[in-house]
This record gives sequence, C-alpha cells and structure tokens, in this order.
Amino acid sequence: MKTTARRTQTGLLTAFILFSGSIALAAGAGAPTEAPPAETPAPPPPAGPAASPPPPSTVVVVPVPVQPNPAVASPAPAREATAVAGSIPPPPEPAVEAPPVTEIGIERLPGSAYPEPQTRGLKYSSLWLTFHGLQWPYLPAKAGRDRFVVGISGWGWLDTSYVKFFPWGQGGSIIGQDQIAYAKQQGRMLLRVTPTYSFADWFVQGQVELVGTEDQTISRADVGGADTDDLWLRIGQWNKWDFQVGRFEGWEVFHLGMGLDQNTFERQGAVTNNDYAQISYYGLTDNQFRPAGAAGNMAVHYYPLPFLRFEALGTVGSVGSGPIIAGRPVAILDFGWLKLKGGVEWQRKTAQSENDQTETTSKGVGGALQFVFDPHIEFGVNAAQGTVVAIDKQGQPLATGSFTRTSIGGFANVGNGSERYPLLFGVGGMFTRNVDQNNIAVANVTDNYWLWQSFAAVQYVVFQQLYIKLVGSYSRAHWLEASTNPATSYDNEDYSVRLRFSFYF
Amino acid sequence: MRKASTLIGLTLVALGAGARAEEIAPAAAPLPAIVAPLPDAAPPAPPPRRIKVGLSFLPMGIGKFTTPIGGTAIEGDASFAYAFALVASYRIIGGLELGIAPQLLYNVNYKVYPSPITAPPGSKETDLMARVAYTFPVEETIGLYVAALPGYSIISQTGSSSAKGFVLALEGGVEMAVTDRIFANLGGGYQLGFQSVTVGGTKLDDRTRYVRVNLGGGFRF
Repeated sequence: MKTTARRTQTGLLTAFILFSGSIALAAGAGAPTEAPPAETPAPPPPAGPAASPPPPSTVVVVPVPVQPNPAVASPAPAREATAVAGSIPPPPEPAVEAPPVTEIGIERLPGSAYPEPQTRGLKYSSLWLTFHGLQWPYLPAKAGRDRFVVGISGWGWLDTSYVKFFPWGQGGSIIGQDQIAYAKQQGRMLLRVTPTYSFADWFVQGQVELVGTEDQTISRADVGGADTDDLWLRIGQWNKWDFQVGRFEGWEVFHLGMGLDQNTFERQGAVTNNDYAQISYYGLTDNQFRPAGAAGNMAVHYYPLPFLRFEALGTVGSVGSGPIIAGRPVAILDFGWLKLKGGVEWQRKTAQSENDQTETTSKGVGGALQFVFDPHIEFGVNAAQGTVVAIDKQGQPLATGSFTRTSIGGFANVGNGSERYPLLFGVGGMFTRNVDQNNIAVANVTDNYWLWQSFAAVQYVVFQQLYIKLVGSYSRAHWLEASTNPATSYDNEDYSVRLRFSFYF
Repeated sequence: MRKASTLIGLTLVALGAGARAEEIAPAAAPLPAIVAPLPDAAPPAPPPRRIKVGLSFLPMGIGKFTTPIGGTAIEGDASFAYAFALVASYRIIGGLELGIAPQLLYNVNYKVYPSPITAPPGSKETDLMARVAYTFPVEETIGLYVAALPGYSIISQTGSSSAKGFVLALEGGVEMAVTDRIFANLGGGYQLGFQSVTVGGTKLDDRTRYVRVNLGGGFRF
C-alpha cells in the first residue's frame, strides 16, 4: 500500500515538475507579457517626500491605441505554439522599427523622480523638501527607449492653530481693534499630475496641481484659496537646460525652516488688517510666488555643472487692474553640504488706462547661505533688501508707498538621524524693517516699521509618511507713524501655536 | 535510487527552465548582500551615561510682572524676557535625574509701565534652581520628560533693593539623542516667582510669572 502511495506521489510530483517547467518556458523568451518589465520596475525607495519604506508604487499600464504595424506585430502566437513542455522556443524576432511611444503608464512618482545628486537636507526636514532648482519630477527615458508617463503625486496638509494678539502703545483705536484671539483649522490637498514624454535625454513635460481647500469661505483670490497651483509646460534636456512657461514658482532663495509656512499665523506675524501699514518679510519674493490674476511666468533654466544652476524668470500679464512685467534671475551653487543662493529682481506694475499714470516699480537683491551636516544638523542665513517706488495717478511720487525693505533671518534644524523614528527640532527667526518716504509732519522723520517673526518646532514622521509638526511662534511688530507731530508709535505682539498633519505622496 | 535520480534530474530541468526565463528579464540592480548578524556579533550595549551637561535658551514671551509703585504692588503684562540656563544632572535610577539649572533672565520689565513716571530699565533675574526630572523613553533616541525646578530667585533692579524669594518652574518636553553623546531638547512650561522686597518696613510683592519655552542641548558623559 505504501509503495502504491509512494508511486502515486512520485508520479504527481513528476507531473508537477514537468508542468512547472513548461510554464517557466512558456514565460520565457518571447512570451507575451502585459507590460514590458523595463517599464514597470519595482520602484526604489523614494528619495523624495514619499520616503522609504515606500508603499507599493502603483503603475497602471494603459494599452496604447496604436495602428497595427506588421513590423512590430507580436509574434506571440507562433512562440506560444512552440512553448510546450521541455521544448526551447526560438529567439524573439527583432523588431524592425521601435514604436515612438511604447506604452503609456500612469505612475505614482518613484523615488528617482525626486532628484538628489547632492544632499538636499536632513531627511524629512524643511530643506530636504526643497529642490534647490533641480528639474523635478525627473522622469527620463529608460534604456534608450521613448517613454510617455503620467506621473501622479501630491501632498496635503491640515493645520489646527490658535493665535492671540497683544497690542500696546499710541495706536489709538487700532489698539482696541487689534486685541483679538482666534482659532482656525485650515487645510489643502493637492493632486499633482505630470504628463512627461522623454526620449534620449530630451523631454516635454507638463504639470497641473489641482487643489482642494478645507476652508470653504475663502475665494480663489484669497491667500490659500487658489484651486490650481502649478500649471505649466516645459521642454528641454535633463540636467542641461529647459524652457518653462505657465504658472509656477521661481526658485527659492530664502529658506525659512520648519515654521513660517505659507498661509499660517506665524507667516503673517503680529500684523492685522487694522494696522497702520502692512509688513511682511522680503526675501526676493516679489516674483517668486505664483502670480495672481491673468499673469504667468516664463523661465529658462540652465545647468552648466552638476552643482551650478541658473534660472532666468520673467513674468508678464495683468495683476489686479493693470499690466505687470518682471524679471528675476537666480543662481544656486549647491555642493550638498553647502548651498549658496542669490538673485536680483525687478518688477513694474502700471495702470490699464492711458490717462492713469499710476506706476509701482520694485527692485531687490537677496541671498542665502545654507549648511547641511547630514544626518544631524542643517542651518542657514538669509538677507535681502529692496526698494519700492510708487507714482500716483497724477504722476506724483507717493511717499507712503515708496519705501526700502530689508529682511535678515536664519533657521536651524536638528534631527536624530533615525530612519525608523525620525524626529526633528527646528527654530528660526526673521527681522524685517520698512522705511518709507513719508516725512511731511516732522523733518527727517519718516514712517518706520519693523516686524520680528520667530518660531520653534518639533516634527515626527509616522511610518515615514505622515508628518506631524507642532509649531509655536512669537512675533512682534512696531509702527512709528510720521504723519503726526510728534510722531507716534505703537506695538503689537502675537503668540500662536499650530499642529500640522501633512502627507506627501 | 533510480527514482530519486529521475526526480533530481527533473527538478534540475525545471530549475534550468526557470533560470532561462529569468535570463531574459531586464537586468536588475544587484541586490546587496544580506548578512545575517550572528547573535554573538551584536555590538555591545554602550555603557549607561548618567551625567548630563547642557545649555538652554529660554524665551519667555508671555508673563506678568509685579512691582511696588507708590507703595502698592501693581501687576502688569511683562515684556518679552529671555534667559540662559546651565543644566547639569545625574541620572539616579531609571529615568529619574537630579541636578541643577541656574539661569539668568534678562529684560524683566513691564510691557507698558503702569505709571506716568518714566519707566525704569529692564531688570535682571537670577534663578538658582535645582532640577528634578523624569524621562519616559519613547524609543532609543526619543524621550518625553517632565521636570520640576524649585529654587531661589533674585531680581536686581536699578535704583532699588533687590527682590528675593522662592521660584518654581514646571516643564515638560521632548528630548532627542542626536548622537550617542549629544542631545537636544525642546520643552515648555510655566515659572512662578514669589519674590518680594521690603519697602519702608513693609514686605511687598516684587515678582515675575512667565510661560517659558526651553530650547536646549548638551552632552552626556
């Protein structure tokens, strides 16, 4: 009985092995596959915001509706016919001509799409989430084959924050109006779609960032209310040059660290709409952010050396009620551990009506020096100065609108360097002073106001995906009004705390 | 025996067929060799470091300041003050530490002086504090701590007697090991002063209360 059972087992095993062999051969040379493996590699651990260990990168391959081409028609049936157990199939027939586009993939951006030829910063830190002028998403052709891929990525954040203001001084009714405290929860989630066609080292790329906002009371023109962030096209050669047109941000020069994020209380500082004049930091920022209104950017990027990058950005269109034209060249020298960034900018806004002589001309120069000692500390300093010259409708100089602004600041981030339990501390501060030309009441005394913004932050990244950041901030602003004799002054302070959850994908 | 040979042969054929199938797959990056650590090859645990010495910067943005003005103790919002502290402690058992944390606090003053007379310049406060702390380890490099800092405080005021008295700070925060020896901490808490000064034989409050933020770091030995 035992012998019979053993024979049966041996027979079954033999049949299984033979069957396995035939399957293996059938999947061998020339066997049809749903997607060529070269186009669907297992992604490396994301080096960018989608950090290791990565969730499985999803690649959905959509068949391209190409016209049947006898030269490239699949010879699979013939081979399948020969793929019998134990037989060796003939070698694949070479394609006479490769198709210009071999497949279309919808792909969550792999780690390689976030370039890091030199260290960008401490992993998960604010500096690491900056690309320092690099071309990204980086989706080059692979193995000499043309490639068309629709990259999918994005990020979302949710802030719950509280702020309280403490004004004092000779501000009159402003003091009472500024005694406010309030809480806010706000959030944005952004889906980034990046169709990219690459061949050799060339590429044509587009990008749109579709935005959802949590606060449904803000309009598209409000801060944080835009429903589209990026919308651009570009053409060029990877790591050599490109030309980009559309709605996008210029290269960052000032780096603010783990606080002072866009749309937050600490970014606003101790300034309310009631105050005598609005103040905000100046960091070569007149033309850095996406222009509002019917205006957009054009930029040429040039990469002469792996550590040297240039951007020549121009803005044209209409913002508000009038046309705008601007230029902002920026250079970045990036050795990884040391990054030097600098640039200048110029912008002119005029009125639409030919009878209106309103004109505002802004100029500025700024730079930043950053150090990264991976994986434990990074820090940097920023400085910029600019002028604004304003002309009114009648063509007369506008004293209160013509001013010099200066900002100086810095940041530091410290991390434990842990891959599994990444924790970061961050501190930073920024001092800004604006001095205008308004000296009508007292000789040689002009409006002079300044703003101090500072923060401390702690951040932990859960499962290397979910960023949890707590930011506490202190800000103080001071206004010296020269429109009265004697000049009056008042101050405002605010304290805020903010808890941010963000997810990069 | 013959059956066994047949089985082995068929297995090799099957494996060989599989190998062919893999050969036409695109060349993949070689996988890094995985070397299983031997149980006895594990690095020895570092010796426990019990002594900790560090420096802290303590911005104190929100607070109250009370001084005698015209024979009456008047409380008002305190101006932004900042302190520097030296922290030295010894870990007794588990996460319990005992130590000292003297600090110098600058710009102790009212935000708006509550009197029409000219406001005096900012004072300096010296807090001689002990420190009792307990750290709860979250993982190897991260710990959550709570601390109590009782001490004696002296507020040196220009043109008048120094205010003296008990001070107590309570604090909590996160401590992070940057390296094996270097650590950083970020915390917050509240500091209560019970200082007083004698004016004309009458003891009057001359004290400070602050919300404190602790940005610190140091070395373990």
